[in-house]
Amino acid sequence: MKIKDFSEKDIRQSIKKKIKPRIINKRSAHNKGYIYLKGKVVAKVKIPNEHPRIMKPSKSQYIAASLRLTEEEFNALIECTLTGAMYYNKLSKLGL
Amino acid sequence: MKKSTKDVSVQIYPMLPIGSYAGGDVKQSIPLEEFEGSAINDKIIQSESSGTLLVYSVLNNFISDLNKRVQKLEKTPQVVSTKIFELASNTYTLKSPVDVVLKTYPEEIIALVPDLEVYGEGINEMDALNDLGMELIDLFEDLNSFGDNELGKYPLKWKRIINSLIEKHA
Repeated sequence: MKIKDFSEKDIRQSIKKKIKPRIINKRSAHNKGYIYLKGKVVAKVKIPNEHPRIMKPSKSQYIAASLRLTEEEFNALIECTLTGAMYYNKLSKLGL
Repeated sequence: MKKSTKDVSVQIYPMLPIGSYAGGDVKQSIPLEEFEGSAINDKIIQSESSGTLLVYSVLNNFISDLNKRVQKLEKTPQVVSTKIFELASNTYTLKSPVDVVLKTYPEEIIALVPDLEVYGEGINEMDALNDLGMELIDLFEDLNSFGDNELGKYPLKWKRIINSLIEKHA
């Protein structure tokens, strides 16, 4: 399954709302979110800006990979069927 | 009930086809009602010179197949490798050139360091590489703000790698 067309804003909001990463903003154009599991940083993700334009799959695939999600799981995350709890459960199973 | 058909001689443009679409005359059965319908004007025309019927439906399939292949190729990024030698900073320098994968998509370019799972993006190579440089500095600062015991196995690996690549000057 391919990643669907989502706006940058929707992707940003889903990541912030469900995954709740620690967000750091420095030099680069995008915020970085550091994802914790059991008190340790296990992943990082470049968080899109608050923009209504559609994010191209060429870019969203890297966000999905950063989050350790398949394309299907990434779609589910943005479309609300994958909850934050389910996401962290998946991360813990990955042994990160 | 079997449909009535009319055998027509089909001439395929000899300069276009390759492989299964090799040029030459072939026989094709076309349903009679289709042959007589108005839609046939879109598919078949009478050649003025030879009287051979040119069946555009055959070519349309060929062109459609080619279009799909072109679209697939356009979605596949062109990938080249390059290096960055400098960071746009007086505080941070590279200890050695960093290998970068440049992926060119129709809309943008992604500059990627796979080992660090870090990428920059831009509308051209320069933008993408500059953005990557900023990302590398941010990553260096971020990871070094964490103690090793705060990092999982991958972030710890990134920290080791980036510390071997970047040097901070006072």
